[in-house]
Amino acid sequence: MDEELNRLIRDAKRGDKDAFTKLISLYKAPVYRHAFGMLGDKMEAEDAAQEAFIKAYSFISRLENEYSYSAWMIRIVSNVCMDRLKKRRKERALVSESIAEARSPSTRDEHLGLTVEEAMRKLTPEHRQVILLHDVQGYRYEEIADLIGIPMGTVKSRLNAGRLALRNELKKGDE
Amino acid sequence: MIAHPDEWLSAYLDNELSAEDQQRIKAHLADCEQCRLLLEDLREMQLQVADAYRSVEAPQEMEQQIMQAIEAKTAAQAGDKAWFVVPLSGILSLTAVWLLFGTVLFRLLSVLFKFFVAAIYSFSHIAAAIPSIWGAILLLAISIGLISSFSLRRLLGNTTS
Repeated sequence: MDEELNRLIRDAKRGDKDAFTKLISLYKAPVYRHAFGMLGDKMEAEDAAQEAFIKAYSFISRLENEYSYSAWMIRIVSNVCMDRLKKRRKERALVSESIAEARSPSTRDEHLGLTVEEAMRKLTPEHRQVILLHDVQGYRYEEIADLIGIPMGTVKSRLNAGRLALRNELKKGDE
Repeated sequence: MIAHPDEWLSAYLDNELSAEDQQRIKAHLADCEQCRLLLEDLREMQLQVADAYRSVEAPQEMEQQIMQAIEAKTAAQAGDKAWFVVPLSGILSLTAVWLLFGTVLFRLLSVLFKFFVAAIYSFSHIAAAIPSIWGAILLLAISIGLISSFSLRRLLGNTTS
């Protein structure tokens, strides 16, 4: 399988569109899953995943290490999502508070228990990002540090703070 | 006993501490029920997160949509790169026509210009000799204007009603 995957990556680097289509089939699930976790919306996650693969197609010839394709792809989609969230934050700042609150999912009855997805949406993007990379994508601390360009100590503290915040959100819903 | 090591529990759960720290937290957990409960919560929550997102499936048609978008982008970029083709071919064609038929075209244009000047000169002389011709032209212009505005109003009236 690894040899087959490396052959696909080499062919895609040479501009073979069929090989790139096969790579999309292999990686669309983790890429889409990460985008959905970060953005919390299926349509937007699909757009972000599409944008990530288009960027990957444009830059795949520059990929130096074929073995790191998976992490490279997750790094791209992660950056795309962070950019979208920054843009969303700016747009929301322009909308008046009352309208923003009316549209926000937080207007649901706070006494009802939150699902994991709903509680995750309440975290900061940075906390969500490390939780998804570790608990869903299965990367280790060192790999996450390399992937998002932060020190390993920051990964450790960010993941801990993120989990405690998530626990608080889930507990709040249970009370 | 050390203070509750909340900030270490997450890394302990992920087996990301040094052997020494791992041992230290393990010893604390043996004596502290509060931390054991927190660790259990974190472990359960980790499983819940993994379950919630690992069941998310990507749309089936995604490959086709992405490849179509890539094709469209590649075509648009090729079009952008070839922006100079139309004006360049126009300039080249004009240059070729000028090189092949330049002298004939120059003569033709000069004859047309002379004819135009002569026509203006003759018309001004005729108009000066017969002053009533100006009145006829003015009358004709006013009638054409009136007929046009009447037709236009009728046309607009028909389309809006």
